[in-house]
Amino acid sequence: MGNKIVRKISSYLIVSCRSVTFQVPATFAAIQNPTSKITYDEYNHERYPPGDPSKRAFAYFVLTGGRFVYASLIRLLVLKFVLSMSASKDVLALASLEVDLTSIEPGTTVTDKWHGKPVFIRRRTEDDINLANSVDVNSLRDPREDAVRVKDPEWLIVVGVYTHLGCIPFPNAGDFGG
Amino acid sequence: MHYTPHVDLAFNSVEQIMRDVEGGWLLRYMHANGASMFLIVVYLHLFRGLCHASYNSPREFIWCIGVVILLLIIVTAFIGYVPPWGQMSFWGATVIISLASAIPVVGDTIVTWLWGGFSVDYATLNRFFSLHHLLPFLFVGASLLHLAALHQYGSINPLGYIQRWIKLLLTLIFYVKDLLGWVAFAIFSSIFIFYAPNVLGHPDNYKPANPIPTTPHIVPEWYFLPIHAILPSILDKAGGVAAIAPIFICLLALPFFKSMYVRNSSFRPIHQGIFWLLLADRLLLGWIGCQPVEAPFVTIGQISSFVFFLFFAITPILG
Repeated sequence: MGNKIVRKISSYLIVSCRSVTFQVPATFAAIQNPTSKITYDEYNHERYPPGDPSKRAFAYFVLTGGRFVYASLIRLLVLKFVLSMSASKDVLALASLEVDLTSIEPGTTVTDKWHGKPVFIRRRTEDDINLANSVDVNSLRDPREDAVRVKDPEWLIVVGVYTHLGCIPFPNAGDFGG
Repeated sequence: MHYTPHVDLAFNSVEQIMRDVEGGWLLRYMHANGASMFLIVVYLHLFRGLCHASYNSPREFIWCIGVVILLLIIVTAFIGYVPPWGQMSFWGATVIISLASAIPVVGDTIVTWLWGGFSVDYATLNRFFSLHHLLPFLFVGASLLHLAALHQYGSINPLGYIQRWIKLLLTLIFYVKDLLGWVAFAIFSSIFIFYAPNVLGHPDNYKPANPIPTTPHIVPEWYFLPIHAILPSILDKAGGVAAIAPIFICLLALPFFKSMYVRNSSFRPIHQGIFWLLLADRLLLGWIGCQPVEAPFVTIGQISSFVFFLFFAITPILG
């Protein structure tokens, strides 16, 4: 382990010497000549007797506990930053809308804004409902019965965007005059 | 991402971040307190360099780049305080940029140019927001240069004598050693971010900026106080402004005075003494910086400023 830690022993002294005999510093000599006769400073720390089983298991547990903490910290930071881009609370507060239906005449359509998109609210007359029911369902892009699309046949409430990429239709135009 | 740099919307957009954006309060407090924490680390690093005389030959270049980085940090922090558009943001920017009017001939032109108008206004806010985003990238480049310059000669050791034949493995030893420091510092930062996030700021900045009533007590953030305190100590306006430059010039000039072989302060007792005197003086100046400009604060400030420059006078003589 000591050999791995000490990476670089420069030949600084050997290159720069001019005479044949020179003084090698004690530190340099000590590194070049490793020996097992080592004395330790036991003033503050007591040595384990040689041959003692090491504290490796305890140390590894402590380090692993630390790594759990670092992982949770990274998870927290990533989540906080990524989720800060999600809808903020003032946007969410505008997510529900209440509309007064009593002022809408039969046969007219009211447009309101919900989630940033127009919502068409149409109070249908009997003729409108019969016309909707008479259409061949299979000729439609989205083949579903009218009864499935509405809760109360008198009120048709649709989000006014095309399902393709979200454009908004002109009123009273197109194939069906809707 | 959530902020709007327009004079009518800036303050409210910051409040929107604090209240409505998911985790916005955390982002804002981490950013604001992060600036303070960052500057604590920078000052520790600077004083460590002063203490151990790391700036000595052959490492002058590292030191000089470090001073440049310090200037970049100071500018970034100053202009970053303007976007929240509180009273202190507005009036701090007004006062500090007006200092440039002390320059003899072109002062007022420079001030108008910096403001982008006749006062801190829409143009100032917009450009400060942009520059606050840009300057940190310059800082990153300068830090890489700082590290590269360090790599040329390597770190010194605390004792300070040349020791080229024993080098420790960076990744193993210093990663673990620094990890302890990072964890301790993260805990220290978290105390500020989560328990006392507004302690290091000024409550006046929670009032929207208003050009008509000046805040009673215009004070910069704590990390500018030691530098700021030297300003009013010199009673002449131009003199006070001119006194700021020598601070950085002294720092820059340090490496070029006298080279010493053994750097450790234990072997230089006089330097050790005046180093701690300098540190105490900086702290005192910091406290003075947030007091109103009245007696006896002015006198104390004058003495402290003098002591500060004394450090730089004595060091080159004694080495």
